[in-house]
Amino acid sequence: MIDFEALAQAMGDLDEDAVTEMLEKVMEEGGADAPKAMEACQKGMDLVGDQFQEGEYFVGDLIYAGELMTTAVNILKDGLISSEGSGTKTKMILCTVKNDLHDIGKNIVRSMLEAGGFEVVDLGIDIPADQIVATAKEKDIRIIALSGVLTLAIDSMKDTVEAFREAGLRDKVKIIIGGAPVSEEAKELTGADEWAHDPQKTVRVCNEWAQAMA
Amino acid sequence: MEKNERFDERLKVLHDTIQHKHTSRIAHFSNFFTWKILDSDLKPKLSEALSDYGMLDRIQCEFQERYDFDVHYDPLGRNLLKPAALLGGNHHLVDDEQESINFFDHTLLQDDEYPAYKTDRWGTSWKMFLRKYPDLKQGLMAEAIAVNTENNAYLPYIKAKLAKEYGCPTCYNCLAQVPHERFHKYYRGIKAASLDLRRRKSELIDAYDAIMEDEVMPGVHKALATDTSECMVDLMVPLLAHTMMNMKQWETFYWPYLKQILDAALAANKTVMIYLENSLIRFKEYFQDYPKGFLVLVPELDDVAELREAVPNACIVGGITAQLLGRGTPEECVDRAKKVIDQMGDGFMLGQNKMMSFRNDCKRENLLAVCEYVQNFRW
Repeated sequence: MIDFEALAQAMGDLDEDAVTEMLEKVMEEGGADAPKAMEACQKGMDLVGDQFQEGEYFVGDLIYAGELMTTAVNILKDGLISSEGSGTKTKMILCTVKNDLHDIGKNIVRSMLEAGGFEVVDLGIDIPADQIVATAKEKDIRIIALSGVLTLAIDSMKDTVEAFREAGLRDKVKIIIGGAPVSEEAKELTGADEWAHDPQKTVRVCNEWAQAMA
Repeated sequence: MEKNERFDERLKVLHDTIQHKHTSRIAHFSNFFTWKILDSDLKPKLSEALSDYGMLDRIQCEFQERYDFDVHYDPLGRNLLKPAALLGGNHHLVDDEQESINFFDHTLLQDDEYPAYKTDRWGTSWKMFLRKYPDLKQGLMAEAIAVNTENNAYLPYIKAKLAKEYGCPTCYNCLAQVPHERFHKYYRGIKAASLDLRRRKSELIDAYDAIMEDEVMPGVHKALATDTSECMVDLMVPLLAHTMMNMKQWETFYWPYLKQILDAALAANKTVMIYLENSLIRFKEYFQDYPKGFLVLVPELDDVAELREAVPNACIVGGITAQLLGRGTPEECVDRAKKVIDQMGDGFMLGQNKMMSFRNDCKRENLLAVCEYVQNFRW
């Protein structure tokens, strides 16, 4: 059996070789510990987040952490599928809004949200408001994270919030906007509930909302 | 004022501002890019304007006649699409309906090709070229080269016209980038270049050292040897990829190369403008020892007053946000201009915090109000 604390630490240190070696050992041993290993990886992602907050890591490190987490999931996949259910996760929507094709920030946030225990419905990039609203309706999702890099995205975020209002769903969903152009002013302008420049805040806010909705 | 006098007066205000000397008026810096096309009374489609040099010429002149800036970071010479389009390039997506330009992140250099890039740069560059233009058809190269020659001629033409007709000095003589920028932006893409910082350290450093020695520093020395007395600054260094790096990566992959460029410019008694995507504040200590009158910083996210405190030796450009110009009222914009001019004092040029590109980045009435205030302002 591997040392799960050491696995969490290796993930936190972004030590790719150590992480993959330990995860492969879990699967060589039959994969029964895959859920525990995934939990350790998620703890490691929290350490990554802490290092980001402290200024030790920066955006490139979060991209790397996201890659490492994807690798971890791929290695552990069979063990995770065959294990007992791992509890119900809160579903949320994440996407880059209409007229913006940037996905790097969105993908970082996705990795951190998944590591934070969310089931993220990632709609992709350049997503129109009506598609976001339709997905929220169809899947009964109440947390929406809208990403964008261009100043143009602010208008699309506003349109999206408005589309929820027109669909009669505004009071039922919480909306957070994220990316370089957002600010307190942009939050006011778009009518969103929160804004964030960093993934840590996004995860924290979405966790608070999820707990309040539970 | 005669045209030549206007040019001399603008140049003196710009140079004095960089030197932190007290000036009679505030210099006004244009960070406007494709918004100019959307603002034009010619009302062209974005895609049409970007491939028509005559139209770009008219739009740039119309913009200058309407707003009367002192200097233009971009005299509408960026994102000219004709040569790339001829070769079948599709990395820029111009959407006329939404009036937007997007650029796809792409990987042209394969994971294991850094050593090849170091030892056979031109061979590897051709491989990347063919990956970038996979549908390149025989015979198109000659046509593309001809169009590119036209493209290359446009920038000097419009710069000379702005100087001669409107008395606007050229913003910078030459652009220099640290080696990592080309991998981040062009060859590897943002994601792959970020992963390389951890996975391929020694390969990166080997390639960067070679690029500095063979290309960047010879180019910088050549540029520094030319007479640039009629430009606002001598060198322009865009900082984009630093936004991805932690401090250790900055110290390893970025700063040593940037320092070489800055030190060479300082030794030649020249000036450098640094265009900053995102923020510089966390790297402030690296810039604090340069003498006053050497650095001009154009920040995107940093508050200009905080940046002034962090790097008091640098001339700062900015103060008016796209958020305000696009969403505020003329009164609010003028109030902000008044406040920031008063707050910043000498060594400050009023400018915009973004490469102004989209329609909602600015309203004409807001910009006109700010320009009128600036033109009438005297200390």
